[in-house]
Amino acid sequence: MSFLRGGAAVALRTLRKTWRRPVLLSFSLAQPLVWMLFFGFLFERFKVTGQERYLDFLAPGVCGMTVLFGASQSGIGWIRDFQTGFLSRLAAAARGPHPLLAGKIAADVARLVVQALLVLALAFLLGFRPQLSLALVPALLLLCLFGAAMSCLSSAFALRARAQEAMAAYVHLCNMPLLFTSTALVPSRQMPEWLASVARFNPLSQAVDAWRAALLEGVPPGWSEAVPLLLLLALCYAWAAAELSRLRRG
Amino acid sequence: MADSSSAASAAIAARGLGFDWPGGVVALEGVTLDVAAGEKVALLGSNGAGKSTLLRLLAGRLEPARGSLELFGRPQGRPASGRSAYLPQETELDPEMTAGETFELIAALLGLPDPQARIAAVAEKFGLGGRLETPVAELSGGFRRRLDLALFLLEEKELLLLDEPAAGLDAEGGEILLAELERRAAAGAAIVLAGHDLDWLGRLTRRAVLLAGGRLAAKGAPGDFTAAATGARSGAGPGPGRGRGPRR
Repeated sequence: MSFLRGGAAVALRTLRKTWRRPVLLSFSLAQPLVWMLFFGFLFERFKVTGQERYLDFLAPGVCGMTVLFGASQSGIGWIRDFQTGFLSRLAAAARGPHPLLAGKIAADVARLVVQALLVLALAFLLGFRPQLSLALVPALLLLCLFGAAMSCLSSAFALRARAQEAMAAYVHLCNMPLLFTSTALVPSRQMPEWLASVARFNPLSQAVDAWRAALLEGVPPGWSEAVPLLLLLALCYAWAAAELSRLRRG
Repeated sequence: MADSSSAASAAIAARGLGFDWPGGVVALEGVTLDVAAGEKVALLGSNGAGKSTLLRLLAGRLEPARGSLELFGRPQGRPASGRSAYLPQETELDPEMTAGETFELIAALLGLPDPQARIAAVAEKFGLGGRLETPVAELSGGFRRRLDLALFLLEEKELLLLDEPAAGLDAEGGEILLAELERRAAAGAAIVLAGHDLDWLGRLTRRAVLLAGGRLAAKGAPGDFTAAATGARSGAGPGPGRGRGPRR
């Protein structure tokens, strides 16, 4: 019960801070808009399969990209709290790392869902027409799993590095390779064989492919897509929790 | 507060504590200290004497390199015992939150029963009742310190560790803190605090230890020590002693 109360209070605080800093939200929406406009029009004549337009292929991918980049902002919040000393106070008050971590990640995932849905709305304005079906619910949950895992990874990295500058390096070292070795922007059959093999195991590809299949064909994801993302989330969460516990001491 | 078995044992039993900073710089050496439940101990010493390091060791934020440390009869381990609270020298607040939001968050994490009543009581005591909607960034330095102290005292703990708690407080704030620490000690809490204001500390306790160069140099009452030995400044702290200057 105290875990739920503490976690809910941390989530509320995280959402309030996001609301009070709308500039972060607007920046993270400007980026996918630019990508959709530039890539969408640049590859307008690029036929993915048959008559499928590139924008239809791209929009779900940019949703995934938005989740990936938005999740990397999770770490910045920890660093700010570390620098003000408030994180020490939170860690001393909480019974273990879980209310802090779970509350923050839950709020960050809620923000990521809003961002992903706003990207879809932008895509709709550009001509994207999704297929509305119940398959969207589990596919969105899968996207949330991916966002939660990436938020945990960013948090763990931030709690280990404890420096704002390190997060810029993180974005380049983690996000860019993940994006460009995934099927977010390009279908795997258009990739060189080695890259297609890498893309198959890329968690961004797994989340985006499921999201795309649900949006374009109404096909729900299966356990084969969910299990690897659940494992990734468990690993990243465990790392972040361990870093937070270490910080409680020092 | 403390049950009969824990009240019987020492709140702090430190034997030959030592700590080194990276690079081998010795911060503390051979510090032995016993503090019983309900007892108040002042740590004195000039800057760099090891007061803050000792408090951080007692709080479990640092691990001793040498010696042994027991809190309430149990080795101090990870995580910190949960029966103690530590207030560092610097305020630990989020400038973007309001005072009220900060209270609510900390009360929820502590799992306090009836948090609203507790928050209202502590906020009122520290003169923060009318400032709960104010963002921390807009509070004066003195009120930020009051908020820091109020959050620290939100829960009744058995061991209170405070690093220069009166620094930055005005006379009224110092009196409030003094009264609250007296009340907590009377209820059985052990209190260890570092400071430079001998007058203010002398009103709280008759037991002080002087640290010098990371070692225990002397014991006595705060009034027994000279300002030169303890690094006290004229008017360094709040309360009636403020402005009277250090003893010569």
